[in-house]
Amino acid sequence: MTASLSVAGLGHRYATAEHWGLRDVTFEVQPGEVLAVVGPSGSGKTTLLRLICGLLDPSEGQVLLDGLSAADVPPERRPVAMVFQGYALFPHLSVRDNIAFGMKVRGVSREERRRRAVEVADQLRLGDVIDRLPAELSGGERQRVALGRALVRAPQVFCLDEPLSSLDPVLRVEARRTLAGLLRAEGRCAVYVTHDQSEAMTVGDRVAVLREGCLEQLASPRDLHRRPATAFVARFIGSPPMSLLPALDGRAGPVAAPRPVPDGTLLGVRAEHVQVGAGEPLVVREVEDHGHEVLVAFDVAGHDLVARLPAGSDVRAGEILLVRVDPNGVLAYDPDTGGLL
Amino acid sequence: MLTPWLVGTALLVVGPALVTVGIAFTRYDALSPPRYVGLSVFADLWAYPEFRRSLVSTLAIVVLAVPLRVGGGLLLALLMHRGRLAAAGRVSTYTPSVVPDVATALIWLWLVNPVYGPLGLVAGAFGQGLGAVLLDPAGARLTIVAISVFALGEGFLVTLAARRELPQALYDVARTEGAGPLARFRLVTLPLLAPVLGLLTARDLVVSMQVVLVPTLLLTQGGPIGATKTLPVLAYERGFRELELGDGAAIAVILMLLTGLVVAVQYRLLRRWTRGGALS
Repeated sequence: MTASLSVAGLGHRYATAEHWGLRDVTFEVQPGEVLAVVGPSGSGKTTLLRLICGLLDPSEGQVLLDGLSAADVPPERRPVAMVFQGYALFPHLSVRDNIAFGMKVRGVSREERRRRAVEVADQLRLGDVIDRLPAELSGGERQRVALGRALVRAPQVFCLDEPLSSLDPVLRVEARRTLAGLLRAEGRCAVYVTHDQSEAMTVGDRVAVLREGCLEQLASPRDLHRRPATAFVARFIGSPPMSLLPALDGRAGPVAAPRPVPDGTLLGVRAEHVQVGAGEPLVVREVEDHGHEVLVAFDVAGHDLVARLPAGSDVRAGEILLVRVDPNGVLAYDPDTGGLL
Repeated sequence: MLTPWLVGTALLVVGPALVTVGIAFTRYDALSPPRYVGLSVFADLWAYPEFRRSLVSTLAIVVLAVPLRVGGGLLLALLMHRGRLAAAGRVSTYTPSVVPDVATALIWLWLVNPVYGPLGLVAGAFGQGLGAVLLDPAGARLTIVAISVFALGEGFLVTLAARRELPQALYDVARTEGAGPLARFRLVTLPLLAPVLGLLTARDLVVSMQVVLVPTLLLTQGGPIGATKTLPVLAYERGFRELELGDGAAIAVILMLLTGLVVAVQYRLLRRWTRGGALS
C-alpha cells in the first residue's frame, strides 16, 4: 500500500501568540520519499509535525492524506506515526510494553500485542532487551524503541522530530542508515525534522527550509546547495555556508556580479568557487583547520570570503594570498527581501 | 554540617522513643518509680474494652481519611496543575493546612453547630434539621475525617509538583495513540505518580492521626461513646490524664508497630505494581 502526504496553505497560530507558528506552507511528499525539514529553533518545524499527526488543528489550510482531507480524522485514526524528540518513552514500561502501548489503548488482545511487539523488536535488534525498562537501555536502543513504537502502527507516513539529536556522533551515523532504510521501505513517506542542515542534506530526498514559520525553499539537496533561493538559505545551508558580500560598482573584491546590479546587492559565492594562488591579493582573517580540509576566511572590506584549501595547507591569519573567484559560481541576492535576483 | 540534626534526632526522637518502649513494659504513674511488669501491660490493654473500641475507631477514621486525603490531593492537583483559576485554587487548597489546630477546631465547632452553624442553616433551608452532629458517633467521626481532609494541602502540593515534572511528550504520545482523558490518567499519570502517592499514603497513615489530635481533644474529647477516641487520644488520656504512663507508652508502641506494618505491606504492593506489572 502506498500513500502520499500533502499539505496545502497550512498555517497555525497559537491562541495566545501574536505571531503565526506556521504560515502558508504547501508541499507534497511522494510514497518512498523522505522530506527533511530544517530550520533554526522556533521556525515551526515541530508545529508542522504536530499538525500532520493531528495533535494540533490548522488555523488555515489543510493536511491531505492520499488526497483526502484529514481535518476530521483524529490522531489515532491517521496512518501517521510520530517519533517524538527525546523519544518520550514511558519510564515505567518495559521495551515490550512501550512498543505495545498503542495496541493496549486500542484494546488489541494480549496475545496479538505480544506477538507484534516481539516482531518489531526483533526487526530493530531489540530482542535481547525486550523486558528492560528505558533507564536500563543505551541511547541507541532507546532511539530504536521509539522507532519501534512508531513502526508497530504500520504507518503510511512517518513524522520524526529530531530522531538522532540525543545520540552521540558515532552512533548517529549507524542509526541514520538504519533509519533511512526503514523510512523508504514499503512505499512509506516520511517527514524528518532536524535543526542540523548536514543531517537534513544526507537524509532527505528533498529538503524544506523553514524560517519563522514560512517555507523559504524546498528543493533537492543538490539544488539547495547550488542555488539557494534566498540569502537566509544561503547562510543556513552548507558547511561552510555561502559567503555573502555587499556589491559596490558591481563587485566585492575579487567577486564580480554575474550582471549589472545596484550597490548593496549581496553577492553569494560557495567556497568551492574560490581559488587561491592567482588573482587579487587578500588578507587572511581567520583559519579553521578541520583536518580533512582547511577553511580560510579572507577579509573583503570587513566581510568574510571563505575558501576551502586542501588538508595540510599551512596558512596563518594575517598572511596575504592571491584569490580568484569563478564568475559562474556567483549569485546575487536582494539585500532587502533576501530573494535571488 | 549534619551534626545538629543527628544530635537533635537522637535527643528529641530516638531517645524518647526508646524510653517510651521501655516504659511500655512497666507500671508507672510519674510519682513513684516505674515497676517492671513485662508484657502484662499489653495483655491488660487487650482485655480492656476501651482499647479495642479505640482500635476500631482509629481504623474507621484512618480507612476513610487516608484515601480521601491522598485521592483528594491527587484530584485537586490534576485539576489545578494548569488553567486560569489554578493560582487562586492552589492558595485556597493549601491555606487550611497552615491554620493552627485550635482555630481549626473552633471553626468546625461553629460550622457544625446545629443552631447557628452554616451547615445547620443550609440543612434547615431544605426543611431538614442537622441535629447535634458531634453527639452522634457517625457524625463526630465524619467531622474528624472532614477536618483531616481539609488539611490535605501538603499532600496536594507534593502531588502537584510531581505532576508538573511529568513530560508533556508522554501525553502527546498517548494522544496520538488515541488515549482519551481517562486512559491517559490510567496508563500515564497514575503509574508515573504511583511512587509519590505511595509515599504520601505511608506518610498519611502516620500523620492523619496527628493532624486531628488537637481538634479531636477540643471538639469531642474522644466521644461520643468513644467514636472518635483514636489510639493517640487514648494514649494521651491514659498517660497524662489518668497518669497510667505504662499504658500510654504501650499504646504508642502498638500504634508504631501497626503503622510500620501497614507501611511495609503497601510498600511491597506498590513495588510489585510499578515494576512492569501495571500494563502487560
